[in-house]
Amino acid sequence: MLFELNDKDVYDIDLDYFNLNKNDIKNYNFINNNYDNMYDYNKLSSYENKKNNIDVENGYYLGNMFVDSYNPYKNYKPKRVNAYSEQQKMLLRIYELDFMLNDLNLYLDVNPKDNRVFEMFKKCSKELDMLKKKYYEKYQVLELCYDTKNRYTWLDNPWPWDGGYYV
Amino acid sequence: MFKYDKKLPYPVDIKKKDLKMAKYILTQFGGSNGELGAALRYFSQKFSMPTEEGKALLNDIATEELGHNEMICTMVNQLVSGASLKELENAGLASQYTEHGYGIYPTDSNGVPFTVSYFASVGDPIANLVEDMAAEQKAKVTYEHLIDLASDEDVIQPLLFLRQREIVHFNRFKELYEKYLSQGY
Repeated sequence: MLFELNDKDVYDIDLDYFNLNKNDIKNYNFINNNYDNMYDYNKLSSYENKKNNIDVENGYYLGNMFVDSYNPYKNYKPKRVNAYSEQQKMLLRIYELDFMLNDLNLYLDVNPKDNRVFEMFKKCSKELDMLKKKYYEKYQVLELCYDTKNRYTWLDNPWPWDGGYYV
Repeated sequence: MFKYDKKLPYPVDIKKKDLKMAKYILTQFGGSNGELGAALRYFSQKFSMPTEEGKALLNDIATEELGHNEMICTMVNQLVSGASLKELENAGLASQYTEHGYGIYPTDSNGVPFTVSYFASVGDPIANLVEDMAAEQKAKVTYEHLIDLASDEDVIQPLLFLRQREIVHFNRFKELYEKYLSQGY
């Protein structure tokens, strides 16, 4: 078996990786769909991971992993994205992790000696890698080099600009 | 080289047609403060960055901006999807249709085509980074104008995301700029 994760673990693995407070996570993990409420950035201070100044759960929706530099516009509040099916939840998690990787990447470009952030970067990268392989195996290939199954599927719809499917 | 990921940086799924909004948002593809100019600006400037930090940062932000271009074009595409000619005319998009049909083409909101004179690359890291910081601020303000004009959450949320990215990029460029100043560049 190439992929070590089982279905149940896919959405839980981040807890261990990022040493988050499990009770906090319960309220907005990827199994629950309680994303209807507008995201309240005032709640940030109560989060366990605030000590890192990196908001693992909400950074993606803020567009900024570094909560101290988050800059709201007027009264607009970023919303969580809804994901319903297992496929959508996995894909959304890939979006989130890919974003986190990218944002930590830019930070590390200028602050390469920050080991705390580099450790997070490595954990994020590892989880993303496992999740992507699992997603490609089960649903759809998002990177050409993984299109190695029975049939050439790279050209298959949907493409990102088609909407709908892309959570 | 570049490799393509078959996904967007942030999901775009606009269900409601809005031709006027499409016309406004298009400027973030082909306008003076748009994502295409941003991607080309940092891509061009990376070759004259003097340190590893500078090469990496300019390279990586340029790459991210290309993804933002795809988001903007996706938004425009979905906002005009299924529009009749009459609707295009009423939204002031008839001349756009004349030139480009339902296709995507990099212009600003007034139909002025993209030009590389929107950005500079002067071979000096300080001068380049000061331009980059200004560019991020101008793009941020443009997103704010677009958010002011928008009413659909499906449109507002991706715009909020893209606006925040401008802030993050500004912060990174500023860090590098200050580092370079202290290093005597």
